[in-house]
Amino acid sequence: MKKIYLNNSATSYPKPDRVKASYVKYLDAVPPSQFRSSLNMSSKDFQSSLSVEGGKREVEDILVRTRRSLGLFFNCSDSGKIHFTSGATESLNAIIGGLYKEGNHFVSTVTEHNSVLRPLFNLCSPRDFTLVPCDREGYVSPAAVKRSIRKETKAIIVNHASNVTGSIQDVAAIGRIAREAEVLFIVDASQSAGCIPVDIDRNFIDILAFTGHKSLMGVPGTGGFYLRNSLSFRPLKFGGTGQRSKMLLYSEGEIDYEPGTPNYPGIAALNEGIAFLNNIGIDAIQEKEGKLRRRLWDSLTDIPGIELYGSKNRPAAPVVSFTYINLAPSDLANILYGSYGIIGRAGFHCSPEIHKALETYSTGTMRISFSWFTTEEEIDGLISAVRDIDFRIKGFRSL
Amino acid sequence: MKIIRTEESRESCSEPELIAFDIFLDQPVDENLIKKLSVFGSLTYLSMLKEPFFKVEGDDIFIKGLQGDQLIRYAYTENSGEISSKERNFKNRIDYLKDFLEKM
Repeated sequence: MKKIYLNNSATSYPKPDRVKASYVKYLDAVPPSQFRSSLNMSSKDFQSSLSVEGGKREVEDILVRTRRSLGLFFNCSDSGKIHFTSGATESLNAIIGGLYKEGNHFVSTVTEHNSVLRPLFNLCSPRDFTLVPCDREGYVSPAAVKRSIRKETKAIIVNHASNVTGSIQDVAAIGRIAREAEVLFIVDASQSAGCIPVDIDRNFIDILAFTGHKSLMGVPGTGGFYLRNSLSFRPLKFGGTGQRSKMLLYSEGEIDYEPGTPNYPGIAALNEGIAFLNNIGIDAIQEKEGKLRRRLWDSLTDIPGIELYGSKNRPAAPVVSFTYINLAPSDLANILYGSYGIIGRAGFHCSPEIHKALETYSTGTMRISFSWFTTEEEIDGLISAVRDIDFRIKGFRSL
Repeated sequence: MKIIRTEESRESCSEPELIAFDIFLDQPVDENLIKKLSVFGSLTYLSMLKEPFFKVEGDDIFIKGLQGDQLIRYAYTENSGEISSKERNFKNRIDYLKDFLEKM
């Protein structure tokens, strides 16, 4: 049975060829020496490890190149302030844990993933954070965010796009509110980076957390965060950095957020993921995925007993959540996979609080999520499978 | 019928409030087994589906899967937070299911 992969909010599949080639090339190449500006820089193997585009004479450290690619992609004026981590979860733990001091207050939302909620609930005192509610379609009102700011508020943390409903929050409005209130604006771009524009400078984003393996088309174990110039926080991890080895105690302003050996192959692959997206263009990606979303939304709406969550017409990432009256989401997912080879995802999607607003807190939802590589035929395959299940159940019951 | 191996479900959050395990069997699940599993609770048997789906729901467990598969999912509520009793609880439940299947 041919598999149809529709769980791209968890991790994107397939990956572009250039991403895979870059990963393998990096593993095959001789690792760079400390003296990369002399002998190794002219090494054929090393040069080829840095770029699969070929023909590029300028050879740079892959970390520098990828920071620059990301900086341009996210429109931030200082790409040197992009730090690599294992993904958005590590980034958000580092950010929240590093910024929090008892008495500091965070404003966040019920649409957050557990990568924000669990650090808040486990690292912070309950009186030190407020979760702003969302409407029935998963959207947060910027005015409600503004009302939640207190004099001791340190930062506003917002999930740019929900991994449950796809709802895109109005980060431009919330960014302005944060700037006017002189509080930090932290955006979790896990579900938005690579499928909708993410603009750090225009939206007054002070800190952006991102993951590499979803719509940025990289591999698991990559991601990072952007930290606006002049900001710093207590690091989550300490260790070897290859720099200033005799300095054991960090002082203010000398903090390093990337201890340990970087994930060079993963970062090289992420750089190629960004190049792949740039070649297509974020507008073209958004248009194609939006069309697939509307196609699925309209078809599911036609099936009595299906309830959709989120909005068809308001801004949304390529995610559709629904429930079916005759089957629990997990049972539907079980049947879709076992009988039709369709891989979606059932449950709470590690984002429990939004389900209270959606009224799906007892069962969760069935989630379908696309990528650039998802085809209309695959969406039609899913629609046909859901119709077939519905037809068989209703047909049997009407006998 | 024998249990070949059991694995904790990697994404058990799809089964709200339950601890879920995937149980791999040495033979495909058939209608006879599905009906016998109903001793564990009330049976929903959707025989009209492409591959018939079944779910047995007891007070604090469920067992579900597709007819023809060699995999069933077994999930239960965990009342105790202690690791030792969690493991004991699981072992007792699986041993009971194993005995049940082997008698078939």
